[in-house]
Amino acid sequence: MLGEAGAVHYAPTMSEPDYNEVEVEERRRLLRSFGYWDLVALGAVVGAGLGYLYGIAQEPRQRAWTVFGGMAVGAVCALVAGWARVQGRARERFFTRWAAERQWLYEARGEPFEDTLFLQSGDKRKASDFFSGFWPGSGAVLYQHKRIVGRGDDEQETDYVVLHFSLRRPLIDLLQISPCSHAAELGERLFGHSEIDERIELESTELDQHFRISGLRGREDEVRRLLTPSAIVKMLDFQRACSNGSARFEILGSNVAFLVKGTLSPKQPQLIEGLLELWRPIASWLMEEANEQARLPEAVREEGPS
Amino acid sequence: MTAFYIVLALFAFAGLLLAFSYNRLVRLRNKVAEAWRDVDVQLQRRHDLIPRLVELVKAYAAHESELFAKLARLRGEAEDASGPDTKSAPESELAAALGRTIVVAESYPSLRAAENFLALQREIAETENEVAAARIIYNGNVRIFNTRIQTLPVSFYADLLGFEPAAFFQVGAEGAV
Repeated sequence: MLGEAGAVHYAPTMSEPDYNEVEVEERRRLLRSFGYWDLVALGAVVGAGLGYLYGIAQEPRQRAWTVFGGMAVGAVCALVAGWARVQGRARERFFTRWAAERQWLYEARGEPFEDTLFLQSGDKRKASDFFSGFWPGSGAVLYQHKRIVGRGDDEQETDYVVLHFSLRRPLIDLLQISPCSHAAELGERLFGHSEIDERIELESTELDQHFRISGLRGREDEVRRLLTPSAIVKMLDFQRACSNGSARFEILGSNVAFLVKGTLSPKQPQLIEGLLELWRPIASWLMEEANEQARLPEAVREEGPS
Repeated sequence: MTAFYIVLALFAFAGLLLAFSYNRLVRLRNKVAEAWRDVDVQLQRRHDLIPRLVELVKAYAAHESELFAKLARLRGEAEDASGPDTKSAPESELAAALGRTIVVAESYPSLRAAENFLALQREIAETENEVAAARIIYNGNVRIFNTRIQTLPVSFYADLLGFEPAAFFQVGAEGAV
């Protein structure tokens, strides 16, 4: 999906782009363009026309006011649309340059990943700001994932920053590590267990206090085998370093998704690097585990480590 | 009569709280025991690697018999000890002796380059990491359990219910390998 047509390639220049500069440049470009002022004029004319139609049944004096009012509203709408366009273009240009400085690839739009259970959840999903690159041997993609639940007025949107990558071979059928929620626990106790997953309590009290770990029903051993003491310590280190308590991890076969609630902003691009740095030890460990599995002969793999 | 019901309700409420608290303490104590079993498994892995290492190094450095004897003695002592408090000292010494043996082995270039030694060295390093991680988890569980039973209001009745502070597992020379 990424790295195909539509992606803009920039050569790294070793100079960090500044979002404010990019935004000012875009604004200047917009204000200088004839098309923009044409659009404002057109907005004013359309607004005036609509104002005239609205005031057609009224007194001539009132009609004049609706025409002027419509003209002003039309012009303001065109100005605002131009402003929004500036923001969008500045964001895209800044992120493209910023990513290129790090040898990454940026795409403003794309389809959301839906290959793990949480990424599939919600009534609708949208995605934007795809950054790809990061690890040699296994390409990863970091992007903005919007999960939409409900419809109409009841619609609720939650933004996540997702790091998605695929392992060389499937590591585990299902592993979900989500923030510990007393409400969810109570709901599970009251309304029964999920058909798919089962809560697994590992040996660390601290881990249980922060995360809910679940795997496929009856496949607890698989999770325990993967989450060795050193893996648990990595999770605890992550939890201490991450100020955002909404981090969740999901592995489904060879697909891995790390999620944290939040949005990507060109004003704070360091958030991306910060998150990658936080996720790196766990991601590296998963990749090593998968590579180790890939190196094992088939018979040993089926048997599983003793 | 109303006063009687109020007192009864208060007793029932206190009993309920006590039951919840007791269950929680039992859960925490079991977690401590579970984490200790994990430490024990990793320590056993370490002990199992020692004869292999000795055998390998002996072929090149037979004159280091004193070090090998010390390793064997410390391994025996560590295996004989059963709890975290008694295991701390022999395991510390064993980890230090293991580190020294690796250093001795590394002074022989042909041994250092041998594939089976490299594999064993990797395995020892991985085991040491797992021992350290299991110890962190165990000590974390002990900290939470001890804090729970030593703070109010649990400290009033923890002793009566048979809950005693658990011992931390401290190994000074860990990570020497």
